[in-house]
Amino acid sequence: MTGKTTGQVFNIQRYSIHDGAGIRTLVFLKGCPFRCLWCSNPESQKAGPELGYIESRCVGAVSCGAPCVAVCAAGALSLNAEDRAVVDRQGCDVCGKCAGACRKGALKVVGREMMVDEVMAEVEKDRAFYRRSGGGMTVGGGEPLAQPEFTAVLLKAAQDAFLHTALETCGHAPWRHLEAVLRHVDQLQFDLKHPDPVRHRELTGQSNELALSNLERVLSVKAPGDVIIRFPVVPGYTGEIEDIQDMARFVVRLGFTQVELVPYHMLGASKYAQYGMVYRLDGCVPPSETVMAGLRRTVEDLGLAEMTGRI
Amino acid sequence: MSTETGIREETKLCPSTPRTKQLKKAYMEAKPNICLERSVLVTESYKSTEALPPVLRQALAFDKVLTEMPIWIQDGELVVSNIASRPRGIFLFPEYDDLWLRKELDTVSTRPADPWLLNEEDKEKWRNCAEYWQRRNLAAVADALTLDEVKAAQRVLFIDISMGKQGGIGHIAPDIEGVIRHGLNAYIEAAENHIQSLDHTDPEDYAKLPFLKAVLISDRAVVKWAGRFAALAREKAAMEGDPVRRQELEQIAETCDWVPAKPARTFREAVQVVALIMASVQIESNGVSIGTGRLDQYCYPFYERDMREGVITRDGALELLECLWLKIAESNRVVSARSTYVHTGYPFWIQVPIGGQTPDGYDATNDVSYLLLDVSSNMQLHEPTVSARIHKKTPDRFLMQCCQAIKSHGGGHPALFNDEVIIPSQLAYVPGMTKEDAYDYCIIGCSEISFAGKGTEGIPYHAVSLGRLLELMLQGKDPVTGMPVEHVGGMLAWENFDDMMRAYREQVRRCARIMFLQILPLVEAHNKHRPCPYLSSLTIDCIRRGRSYFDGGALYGNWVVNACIVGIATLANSLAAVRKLVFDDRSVSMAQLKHALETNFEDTSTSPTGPEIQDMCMGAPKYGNDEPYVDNLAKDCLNILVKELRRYETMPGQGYGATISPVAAHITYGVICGATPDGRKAGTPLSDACSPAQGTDVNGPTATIKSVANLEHINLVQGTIFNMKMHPGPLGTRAGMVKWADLIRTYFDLGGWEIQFNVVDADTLKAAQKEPEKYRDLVVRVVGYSAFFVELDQAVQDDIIRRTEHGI
Repeated sequence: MTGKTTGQVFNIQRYSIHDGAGIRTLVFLKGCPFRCLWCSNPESQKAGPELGYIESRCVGAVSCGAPCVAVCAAGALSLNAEDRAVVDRQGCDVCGKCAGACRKGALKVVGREMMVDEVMAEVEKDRAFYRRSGGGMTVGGGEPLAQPEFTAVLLKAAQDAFLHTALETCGHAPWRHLEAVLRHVDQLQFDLKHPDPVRHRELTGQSNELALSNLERVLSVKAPGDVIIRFPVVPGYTGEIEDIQDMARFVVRLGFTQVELVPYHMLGASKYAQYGMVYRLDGCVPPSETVMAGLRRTVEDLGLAEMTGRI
Repeated sequence: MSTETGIREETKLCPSTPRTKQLKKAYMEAKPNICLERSVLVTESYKSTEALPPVLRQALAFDKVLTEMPIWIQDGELVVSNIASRPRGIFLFPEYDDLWLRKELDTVSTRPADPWLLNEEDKEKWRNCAEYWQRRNLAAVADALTLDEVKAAQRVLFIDISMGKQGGIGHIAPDIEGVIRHGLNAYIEAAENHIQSLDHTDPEDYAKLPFLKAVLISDRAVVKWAGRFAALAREKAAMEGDPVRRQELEQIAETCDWVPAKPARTFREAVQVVALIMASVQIESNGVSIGTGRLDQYCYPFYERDMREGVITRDGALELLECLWLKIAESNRVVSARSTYVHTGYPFWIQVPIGGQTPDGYDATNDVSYLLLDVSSNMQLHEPTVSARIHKKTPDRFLMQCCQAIKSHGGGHPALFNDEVIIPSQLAYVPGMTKEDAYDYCIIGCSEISFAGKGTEGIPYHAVSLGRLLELMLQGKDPVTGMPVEHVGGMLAWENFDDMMRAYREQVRRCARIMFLQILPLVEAHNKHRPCPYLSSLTIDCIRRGRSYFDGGALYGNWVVNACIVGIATLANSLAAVRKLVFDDRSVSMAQLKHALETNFEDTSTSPTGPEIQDMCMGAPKYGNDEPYVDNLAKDCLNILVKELRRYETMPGQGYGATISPVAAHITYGVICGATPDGRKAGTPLSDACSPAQGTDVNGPTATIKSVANLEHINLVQGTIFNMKMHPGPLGTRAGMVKWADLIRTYFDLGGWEIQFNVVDADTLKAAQKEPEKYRDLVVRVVGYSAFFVELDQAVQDDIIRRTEHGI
């Protein structure tokens, strides 16, 4: 366990202001056991690197000469009738040569093996902002616990550098992994997607049993004030008032005090096509402010603090 | 000192009372117009005083204008003053330079940017005056004093100094506080006493007489002028049917009988002094960016006492200040069509600084500071501009209220200034500066620093285009005439990075010399021919020394000029691209790059093609992303420029200062600048102020802030402007606001000078372009000033829309 430990990172986003206290840098790790229908980071799901292709940026072979096709040794790139690039996902070995050749930024490789030291160098850049705002580093994903060792080393490195740390997790991992990581987490953000195990599997591809059993043990190592339980609100799928009540009662019983309602948004929808995936939530609309206010009252009536806009 | 807690969540976004709503409506509906009365009066006066010293001639002309100009009081006004003969009118200043109007007489009323109505009769009056002034105005004097070498170089370098010729001393703040405390009669008495004490056999004393006499004439003229307002108010009161309004008019009469001659006794009188002094200073010489000084500081004792004694309420004070706002917003200057491309939106850069520290170093935020934030949000005017001084001990509540005001106003008010950098910069830069005066600084212009009633700056706006400088160093010849530039080869002669930087240094050296040589005759012309006795009398220590502002009268900075630097990001990105592509990666040769620039990246017959080279250039590191590779180049280039300018002294011990607050000059200078190695095509805008080039900062606000803060702001002694555009949405939560305030504090921790925000979204701006009539109120901040968006030129509108939007 050193700074040379490596992990798959797909994005490092500075100036994150919606993911924990203060101004933060959010480190997105690749790979996730869940396949939530509403996932806004489809590129985060698979464990390894992927080729992303933004077709609207492709200017066509007439204009650029299609160097991407020429450099592709796997023969996975071809041109369509409009002379734009087409990716054969089966043939592509994600070597990244085409992304290097494309000058328009239409092709890119998402997911990169990074050492903890490299990540920390990036995180360090905004130290002045953390100091002012009480911010720090948040590790999210994907699911950080899909890379338990890297996550633990990274969080420890940040703590050793006197930075505030936060973790975003869906909780679907062996307890010993979660426990090891939590030692280096100042603030935990734990997602509960749906109260019912069957419905949970329909929505995410996995049962919620492991996550729930982990949640029951979280307060053995964390204080309630250091944990925020997050409920997604996806109209027609999860976050109906009954779901919220069930989950809220459950977490109250366990002794948690803080929750956050996370409204569905469509900002990730356009990314699916870039990775050869299909978005299955077409037609779903974000919940109205009225609905959110009602749900907020519901959780507050049960004695929970709703943290939206407070951290 | 403040009696309230918490921040006021929602400001009204409209004037607070029916009266000020009505007054604002009248202001918005009145068309900007030109009044010729002053031109005629000044010309008559100067024709009759040709044998007198210039300082007396200027005083006598000023006296004639104040005595004979038509004056007016609008329905509902509580604060009176006029800057011209009609509401939203403006005088011309033929004794400086309005001859550019000759070519624009018939278009000035209809031009796309900042039109001014001018009727046929007044055109004729203008022609008559112009005949007298064409060989006598200040521009003619300055021109006669300018070296031919400089005139030639000026055209090549395109250094614009026209603003410095079109009016008198500007970019200062007069001693309004002194007038409020002591009354103008005290100034008159001081001048009389000094005259009494002169030894007329002593040549030095003898030389002071004309100036001191001119002060007497000017200051007495202002007292008489106030008396005219008193008389007019009384006249109107006598005819007024409404008893409430009659009483208001009688109160105006009593106020103007008392101030500015005698010391103010109430908050209302203090506010009236501000209006009269601001307007009369403009009428004397129309200097650009005459600030109010620290309004919240000098009005607070009156506010506090009137509140305590029940003479005034907070709402009453708010209404008075809103009335004052509309009076100050009348000030302006007619500029040529060409100048409107540089400064569009009827800007006049009138700054009202609030907050900050006392001369003793205590937090100075008071109730009037908060009141002024409300005034600014309520009035939604482009002028005046409230700017908040922020320091380490600024109460969070005040900063949060500023953020709330920025969010409400949307158009960049208030801009935020960093005491922790500005104060040490002034202590280091201005000879003889005391700690107390440094702590008491005020803001003028876009980002510049002045000491109210004590001097600095004086000559406004003197801009150099780094885009043009870059072209010269790349080509090694004058891009206009094709003449080779001495000693410097073009880019083909550079073997390595050091050669490139040497070429930059040589160009900077040459440019700094020309800029300085250009400003000398201008200062000489102002000093000898238009010394502004009235404004000088409102500048310590002119009366005591018996000398005018530029003649050694002002306590600080007998004359200070600053060089506005335009296009720093364009320059740094270009040099970084050459370094990366040609020297480091060797992905293109210098010859290939040169050809691509000469063909505007459009030649497709080469390999790589022009567009391919442009893509490579665009892909090189860009300033604004927290990348030392290019950020340090920006810093080094600026330091070289600052050092070369400092070689020239504007007074003993004080080097030629620099600033990065170039209003909208990046657009004009962009038009005349060819393609640059950063991938920018010919004719498109250069980067604005010290912000990243448009659309190139892609790592978020913290990265942008770190890049900008990497510059040594403390060396740019007249300041920098950093424009950030913010979406209002995420500012809706308390945490969002706190994080915004933290972002600002961090920029200041890192050494930034000033930061300002446009809190609007692009969709709103696009909608405003389509239906301007629905968005007449929409104020945006265009670098150093705010403007009504719909009054801006389309190119400027487009540029604002294009700027990177930082999603908060």
